[in-house]
Amino acid sequence: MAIQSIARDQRDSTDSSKPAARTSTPSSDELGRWRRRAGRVILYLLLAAGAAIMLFPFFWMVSSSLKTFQEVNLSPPTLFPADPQWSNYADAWTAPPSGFARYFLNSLLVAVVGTSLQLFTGLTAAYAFARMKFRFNNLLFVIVLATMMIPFEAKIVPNYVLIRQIPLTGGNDLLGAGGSGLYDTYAGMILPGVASAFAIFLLRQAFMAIPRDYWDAVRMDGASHWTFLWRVLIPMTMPAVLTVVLFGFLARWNELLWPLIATQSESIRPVQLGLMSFSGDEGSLYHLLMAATTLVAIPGIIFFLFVQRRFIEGLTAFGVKG
Amino acid sequence: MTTKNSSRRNILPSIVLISSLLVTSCAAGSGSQAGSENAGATSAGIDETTLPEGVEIDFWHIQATIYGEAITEMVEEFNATNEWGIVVNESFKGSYQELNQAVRASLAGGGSPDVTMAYENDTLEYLANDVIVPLDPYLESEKYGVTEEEIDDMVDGVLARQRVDAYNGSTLSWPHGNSSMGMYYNADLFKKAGIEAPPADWDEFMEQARQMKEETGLPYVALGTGKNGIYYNIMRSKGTTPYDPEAGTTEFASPVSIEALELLAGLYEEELAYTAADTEQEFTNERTASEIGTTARTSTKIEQIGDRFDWTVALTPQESEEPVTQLFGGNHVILASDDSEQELAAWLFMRWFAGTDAQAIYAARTGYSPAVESALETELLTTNYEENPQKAAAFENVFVNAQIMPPTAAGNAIDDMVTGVVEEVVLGRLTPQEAADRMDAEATTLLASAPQN
Repeated sequence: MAIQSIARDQRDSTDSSKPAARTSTPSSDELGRWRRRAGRVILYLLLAAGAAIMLFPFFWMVSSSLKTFQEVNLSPPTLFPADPQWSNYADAWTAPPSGFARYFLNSLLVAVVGTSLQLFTGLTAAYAFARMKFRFNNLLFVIVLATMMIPFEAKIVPNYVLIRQIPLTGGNDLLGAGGSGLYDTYAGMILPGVASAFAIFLLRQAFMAIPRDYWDAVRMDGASHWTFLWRVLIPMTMPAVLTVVLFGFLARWNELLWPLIATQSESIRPVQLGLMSFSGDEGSLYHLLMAATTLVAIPGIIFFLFVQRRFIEGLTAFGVKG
Repeated sequence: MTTKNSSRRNILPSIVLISSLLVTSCAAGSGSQAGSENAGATSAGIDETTLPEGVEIDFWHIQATIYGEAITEMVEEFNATNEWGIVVNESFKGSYQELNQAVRASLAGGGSPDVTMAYENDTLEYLANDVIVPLDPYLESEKYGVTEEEIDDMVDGVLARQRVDAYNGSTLSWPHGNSSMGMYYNADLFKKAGIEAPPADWDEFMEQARQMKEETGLPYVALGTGKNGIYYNIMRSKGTTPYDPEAGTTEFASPVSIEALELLAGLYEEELAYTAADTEQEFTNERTASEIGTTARTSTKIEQIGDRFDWTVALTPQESEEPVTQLFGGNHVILASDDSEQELAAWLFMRWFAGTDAQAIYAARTGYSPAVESALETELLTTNYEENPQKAAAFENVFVNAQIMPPTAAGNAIDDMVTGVVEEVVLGRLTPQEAADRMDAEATTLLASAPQN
């Protein structure tokens, strides 16, 4: 009896809770919506804060570029220039002996030609590694990957010797002696980077992700390897291709040490060396340096904005992060 | 049959890939290292050389900003006025480290410059590789050499560094234009704190530091992150050279070293000194009453401070009969070629660069002090020093007392080690005695392992 009573009480209590639950349903939904909205607001605030942190160096660069020599060295620093010095841009543009326009052209040439060559070698090598069967395929690929572990500094002297002693260039004889080879030329700046292990790796991974059925299909139509690569693989792996292009372009655009060593003439040097004319062992002209840096950063930023979406797809789709 | 054909076909990509690898790895070629074929050149032989018109030489340096502009101006001046029609092609090669990398590469692959800037450590390295031209035959040449008066005209410390003991009696370099370690002080703040003149010795330095803190609440001195310089300076001002590369011994564990470390520890403990990445900003923004740093920054300070406050530069405190401070900056050296005319042209450019007129231009355009005293008598520098009395003070008070540390191939490693250990002392992590013992042990090992010449 007692058990029945307890059971009834429990049932009653359960029943009595039902209407209450029904009445509370709209408010829980509201609460849930409110929580989702609050979560979104917090997320956006965090993202905005992150974006502000990321953008602050750019803001600082532009702000400093408009200050006077005295103001840029003030401590505590001023957030905005007291009297914007737009002439800093003109001064920075004309300060180096050849002018920054020349440096821009040089960098553009080196970056475009260098990246194109790197893309060509990357595509063909990656295709071979991904799609062709031959002896020591994996071993050679591992060796290619291993070259990524050699620091650039360790390759400076070998690279220098290589460009200097290339036969029949720059007055060199057949044995690579007697002249200056490709030293102090655009080709000398470009050549050492035309084969990139990273590009080969990324493109190979992308090519391997494409089902083999496509090859079988185009082969039925009598297509060659080249047609398959050009007509099928490249369009299908465009994010990876653009990633290689972007990395290649930015790497060349930002290159400093190699052009410094491989060139002597100021007139063929790239923008990064132009920036060095505002900073030395005995101090820096920060206001001009920041003005010149702003100008130099613009092409890279524009290029990134154009290929941004594909670039991110490329990084996430083929296993390369960070 | 099919398999065989397939194997043959597949050899091609292998060959192509192996070729690509060769390009990627960029194997070193057989470097055509320049040898000093003219190392045995004599003054008589040099006198007999007649320089043809238009010899071209390459000059690599590390100077950018106003220093780079001054170099360009000087090179243009030389190219336009030298009687032999020598043409100098100057090239900026980054920092000393990057310049050294470029020179090493050029020594391996050819195309090394005729004249390059170099510190003594680099010069010792080039000497060890037999790629440097001794300058004594050129100096002694009747036709192309320098006179006794010209030698005497050179600032003592600058001349001494061209023929240091490690060069075994040879002169291996010639001046570029240098700077030294000085003590910049804000005269207005000193006056406010009741301090009449910069400190004469380190005890007075400490007293003034306390007085400054008490009267103005400001720290007395800002020191850079590389503490080896100030530590060496204190030791040397007390008559002790921190180490002797030839004997392979150090004075790091000596009482003088302990005193120097105690002084530095005391300054930080009482918050009379602090470390700043850019001490110049601290000084020009009046956050410290003084700054110990290179006199090369005198010209930029003049521009930054304007007439906001009264300041000048003095020698750091001294406690021995012979005042001494750190001498900074590199020299010029000639790298050997197989062409005696190139080497002679290189020498003539170097000689001109270290001469009165060129040094006057360099000192007037930059914060460097001239290597020769006669430059002070030129109209250009006289006017410049009248307009900028701090630059004159940097020369008269500081630069004339500057001497380099004994050069050694282990110099950079010892500097880094000392900087790290002294930092531990000022942070209170090591006692001066512990630091002294550690520096002594580590520096002794480094000196023993350094290839000396």
